[in-house]
Amino acid sequence: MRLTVPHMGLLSTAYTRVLRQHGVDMQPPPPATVRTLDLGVKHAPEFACLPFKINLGNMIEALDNGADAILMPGGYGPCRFGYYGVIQEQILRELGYRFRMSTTDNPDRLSDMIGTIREISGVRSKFDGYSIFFLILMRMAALDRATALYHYYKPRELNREDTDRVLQQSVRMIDLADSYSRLFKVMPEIKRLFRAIPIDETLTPVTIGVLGEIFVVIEPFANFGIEKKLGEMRVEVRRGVWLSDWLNDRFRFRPFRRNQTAYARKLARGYLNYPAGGESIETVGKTLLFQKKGVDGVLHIMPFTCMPELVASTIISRISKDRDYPVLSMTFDEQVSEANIITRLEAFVDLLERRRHEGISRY
Amino acid sequence: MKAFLGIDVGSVTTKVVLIDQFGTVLWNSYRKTQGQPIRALQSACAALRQDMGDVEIGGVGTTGSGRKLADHVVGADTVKNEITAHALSAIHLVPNVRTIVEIGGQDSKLILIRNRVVTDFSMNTVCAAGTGSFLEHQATRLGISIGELGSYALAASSPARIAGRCTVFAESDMIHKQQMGHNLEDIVAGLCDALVRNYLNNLARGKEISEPVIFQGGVAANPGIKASFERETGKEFIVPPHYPIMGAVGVALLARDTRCTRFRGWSVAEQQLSTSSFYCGDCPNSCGVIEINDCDRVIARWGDSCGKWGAQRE
Repeated sequence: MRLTVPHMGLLSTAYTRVLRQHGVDMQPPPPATVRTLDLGVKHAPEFACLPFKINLGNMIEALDNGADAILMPGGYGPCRFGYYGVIQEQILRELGYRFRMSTTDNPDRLSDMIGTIREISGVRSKFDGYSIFFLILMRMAALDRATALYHYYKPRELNREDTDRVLQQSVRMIDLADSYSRLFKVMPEIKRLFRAIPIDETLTPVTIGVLGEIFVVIEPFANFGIEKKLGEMRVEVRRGVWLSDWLNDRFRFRPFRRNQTAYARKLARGYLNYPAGGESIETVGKTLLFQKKGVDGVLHIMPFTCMPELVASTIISRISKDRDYPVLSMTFDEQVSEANIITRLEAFVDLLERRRHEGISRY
Repeated sequence: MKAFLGIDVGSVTTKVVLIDQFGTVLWNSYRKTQGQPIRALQSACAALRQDMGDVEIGGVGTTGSGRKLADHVVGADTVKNEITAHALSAIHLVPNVRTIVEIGGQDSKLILIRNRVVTDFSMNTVCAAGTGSFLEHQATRLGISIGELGSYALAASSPARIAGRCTVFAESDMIHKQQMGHNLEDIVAGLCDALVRNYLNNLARGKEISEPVIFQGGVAANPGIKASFERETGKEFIVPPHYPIMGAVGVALLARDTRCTRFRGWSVAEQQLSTSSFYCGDCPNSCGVIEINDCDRVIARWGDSCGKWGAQRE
């Protein structure tokens, strides 16, 4: 059995090596490219969202490369996503692929999650199941930490692409750290690598909080590499949703890390009093948080036809009006032209820069 | 005296302006791109040189969807997006402006300004319904020139109601209205109303249009659209004298800050520039890489997402 899991940001880096060590024959899909998207678009229903199409493309490419089992999160899910595994299985079977499909039916319950891990890895004891999952979580947290460092250093770098190289190197280092002790040793080294990047110390870049549907926020392929683009425009990104937080909020493995979902829910009170699916409550709550913390503006990104984020986008445009706070909402699908995205991003950054110097405008 | 060059390479037209340091427009050109932005730009530069002689250029700015291409051709000091450029020129002209309505060949924008700072904007994303190319296409279909469209619209007594959400539906609706026997004036006026309704529903949704409003971009040439806007919103829409070239003016204003220009000189008009493109094929992304050649020499390459072709320039 060769197992594949569709990509989601750096998640595959976090689990592939760990599961391989426990004897799971892992076959991660090749990195998403235009071909992946074309395959997904060709076989997916037209009004399915971008994550569905990219996932489906991932699966097809992995199956073509020899995988014969797919693991897909599912269950009652945060939105339509809950049914995606089922529909994707149907589509792939109709295409004539033969494979085993496991969907985690109740991914919000830790015991079910551990059960799935024990099932695919074949470990006997519950303890091993838990420790595998915890290691994956910690590796994901390390990857997120490296990404956050990237967000800080990217706008300040003096030589283009320096920070990107360091991030790639860090991801490789974390990938190789296959035990807790190695992981803890590798983190200070990564920090040193980032600190060694020559930066412009005098620069105080404009800050933009990036919020929205988690897949398009964390997957550079789905959002045209928006974080890198912002970095190149000398903007410091403050990402509002992290995959490690998402995992931790559900399973509370790291007791000293704040439950971000619960925190966002508290912050959003008054604007959105109950979760409307997806990351809607995080989007609303964190918009208010970023505004309070003095982040210059919020960029809200979502896939086309995403209902929960559409709800959130209406609410945050209200927040924007109430509190005079700049918010830009953007929708992504395979039809969107990059030129249009860049123009709007640039104009938004100009707007934020001008707001900073309001009153001492040169023009 | 130094002059500053502003270039706006849009989807349909290419605009070139020359301003002095106070922002007065000394010379301007507005011509169709006709799918050949480099040729259009070069002929505009040649015309400028013929009319104005060898003026000293203190700075060059480019904007519009072809801003990067124009930058590589002439050597620009400022490369800015259209939204900022339009806002700057409008603020320069009417310092207390609060709303800018801009409708160009293929995109339309709404920019809100408070205290001379852009506070909000919106731009059409996937649909070109209600932009200049749509109007032009329909004018051609009705057999009238785009310049006459406005006078036809103003002559209408009872504008026909045309669905404006989508160009395809608008066209079939127009044909339907024609077959029903509506006269040309009413249909043209209905078309203007549909465009305005589409604009207000999409771009201006939830945004406050407050006076003074400046209406610029190529479509502002059409008094029928202006009248529809004023009827629909009850606000006065000011069309500035240089309405089609405001983007170019804005970016020329920005170029005034240049200390030492990168302008290649007037020889750009005579250079034998050609573009070619190829698909990289080193990974499945198969990015379309575009290169500009001056005779056999590659001046610039772009379009690759990994940056390996762009880095190889010269």
